[in-house]
Amino acid sequence: MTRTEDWGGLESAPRWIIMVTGAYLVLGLFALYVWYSAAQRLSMQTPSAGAEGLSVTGMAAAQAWLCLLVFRSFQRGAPLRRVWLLIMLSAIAHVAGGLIAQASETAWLLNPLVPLGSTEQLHRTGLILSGPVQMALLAAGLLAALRVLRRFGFGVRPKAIGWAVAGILILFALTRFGETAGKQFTADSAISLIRTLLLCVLSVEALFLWLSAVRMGRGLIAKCWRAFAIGIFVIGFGEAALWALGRYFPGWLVATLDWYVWFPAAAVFALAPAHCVAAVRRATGRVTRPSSDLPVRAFPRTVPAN
Amino acid sequence: MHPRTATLVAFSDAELDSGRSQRIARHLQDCQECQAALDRISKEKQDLSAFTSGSQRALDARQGLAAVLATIARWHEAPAPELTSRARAQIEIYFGCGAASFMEGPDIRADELLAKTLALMAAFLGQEAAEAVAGEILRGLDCAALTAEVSP
Repeated sequence: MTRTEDWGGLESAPRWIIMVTGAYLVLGLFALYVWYSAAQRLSMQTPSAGAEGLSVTGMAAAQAWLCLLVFRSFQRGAPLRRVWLLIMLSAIAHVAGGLIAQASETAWLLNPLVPLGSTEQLHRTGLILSGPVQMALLAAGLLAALRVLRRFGFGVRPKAIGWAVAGILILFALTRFGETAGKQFTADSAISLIRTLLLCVLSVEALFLWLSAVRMGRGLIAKCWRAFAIGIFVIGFGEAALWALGRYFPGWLVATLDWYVWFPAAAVFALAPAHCVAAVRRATGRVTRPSSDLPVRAFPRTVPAN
Repeated sequence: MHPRTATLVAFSDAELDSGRSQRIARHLQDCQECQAALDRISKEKQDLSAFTSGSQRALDARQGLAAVLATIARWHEAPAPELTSRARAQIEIYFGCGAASFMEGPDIRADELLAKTLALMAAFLGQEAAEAVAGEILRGLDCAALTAEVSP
């Protein structure tokens, strides 16, 4: 067994993602501090949301690419192939929605999206893709993943504390649901309502995923599924915190902090397939003889068919 | 922060890159706990090496015929425990200790554990990765002895 630390290969993708995210967050916090300090003395505008949105979209693109790599490592009919397909489609929807939403916000004459329709409609399409569509695909993928985990003996029954954690998120989601439903019903409020309901579903899935990963241990595959749970919890608790802050602090400050929820969440979602890619690379990178020569044939009764 | 046991094993096998090795070497200079752990690992490796190679040096002539026969018997039993140990190590790397404990029941046979391990790998990482892990587990083992041992 010969292994060396390799920062150049895909095996180190999780560490790269953590490093980039950490550096970007520190830089963002520093910029926020400078901006907030300078705003006391100078007249300054709030920072553009475009660059922030693109960083989240960029991380979602990294997630989509890593999901594609994992997806390709499974043969047709493998139970997790469909799971990774759904998760990859969810990341693609996030990327497409993010790009459309960002492009439709750009008041630029050469913007290629402008002739396609009103920028408002395009912006809404982007929000639908990166919101409800992405979350629905992710929820479907994670549900299928939970079935596979259960089939292999990693099914769990949450205890009271687990349900309490998920309950907090569901309570928050229902509160927002009530708030939105009480107002005049618009397309944007419908998107928000659907997002909120999907967040409830994802919160419950995250609870089960987290407990299954804890049951596994601290291996690479456990880290992969744990990352999805963390990503959902970051979104859920982050949105709840922002919602609570919005009641006491000005809207512009809360809007600025929004990125500090979505960017880490996008990074953690990218981390999940990165762990899986690292695991696959670690396994396949150590092949020392052709698989046809494997003496595993000595156990014809016990070798499972995929 | 102390390095993990797996890292110390890799250090002992000279499998770490130079930077990480130097960091661990510096840590070992100051940490008696890790020094003791490394000594224990080195001793276990030596014992295992002497045991699996069947070296006569590992046998103490004073132990007598009974001890020699016992050692030979243990040597004959070696492939299956070694297979179990390797399969468990792979589960721990990719899934974790919890999964290894959960899968490795008290009465599970080595070939059953291998099959379970490969089924898990194939399901969660794909067939190619499962075959590679199988190669890793079975590398250097006497497969004829294993087959004879696990056959009913």
